[in-house]
Amino acid sequence: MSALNSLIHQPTRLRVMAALVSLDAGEKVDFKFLRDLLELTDGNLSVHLYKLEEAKYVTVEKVFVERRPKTWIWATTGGRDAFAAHVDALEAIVGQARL
Amino acid sequence: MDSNQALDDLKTIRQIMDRTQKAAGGNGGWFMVIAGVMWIVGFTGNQFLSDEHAGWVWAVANVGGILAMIWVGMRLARDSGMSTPMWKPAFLFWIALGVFSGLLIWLFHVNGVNRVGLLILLVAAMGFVQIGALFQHWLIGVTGILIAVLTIGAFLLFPAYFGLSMAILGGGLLVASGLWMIRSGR
Repeated sequence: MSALNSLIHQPTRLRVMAALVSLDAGEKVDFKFLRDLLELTDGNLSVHLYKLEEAKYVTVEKVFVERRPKTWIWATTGGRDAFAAHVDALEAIVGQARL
Repeated sequence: MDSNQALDDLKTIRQIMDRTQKAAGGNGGWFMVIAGVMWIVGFTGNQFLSDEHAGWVWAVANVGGILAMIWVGMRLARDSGMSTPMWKPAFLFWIALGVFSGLLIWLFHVNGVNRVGLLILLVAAMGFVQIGALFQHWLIGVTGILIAVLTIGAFLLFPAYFGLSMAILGGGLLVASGLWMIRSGR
């Protein structure tokens, strides 16, 4: 049985990962899109992205588009696997309670 | 963690995934709306104008439509906050289908406005079905099937009004499907 992932378990990071893994492989979102979608502040999102990036669950790429800075974010394969394992663990807890 | 907390987390995950899909999706609808407008303009020309004039209307509609699609694609890439690797392959796919249609018309000497229209529409319908299957997007696939059915029906049952039928039914269907995609975010 999969174990809960303490890094992903934190509520904001859980929402960030849920948003990112719902995209198809190869798709990415920019920082502003994610911030507005999850109704977070710049600082709050940055802190959690940093932790997820450190764990190699997400990739953060800073680029310039038409001379404007843009930050692209996407879930890595490892991040997708870790999230799937965390969801499995949550489902197992719910399933056990129903037995 | 108790089961209620786990259930709440699973609900949160589902909500965020749905919200993300809705916010990120639907952009393809703009391209269907533009294609629909191209069809409405082009096929209305077929119905009411001479072949030569209708050809010019189609040329203007095609060039205008392709430029509009490129402009929308660039705007979406810049402003939508989302990047997908699918746009370029999808665009190239439609260009390839256009070339394929042209080759078929040339190789098999397809004559007559209705027959040429029939062939192009059936190839386009096939394209929608393929794109729908590729992107696992049922609405695009169903739109393709409906276009094929409407096209064959109009060609056989209302040959004198084929252009007008395809402008209203085919073009209208594309516009309606596109607007539905934009509105629903699917």
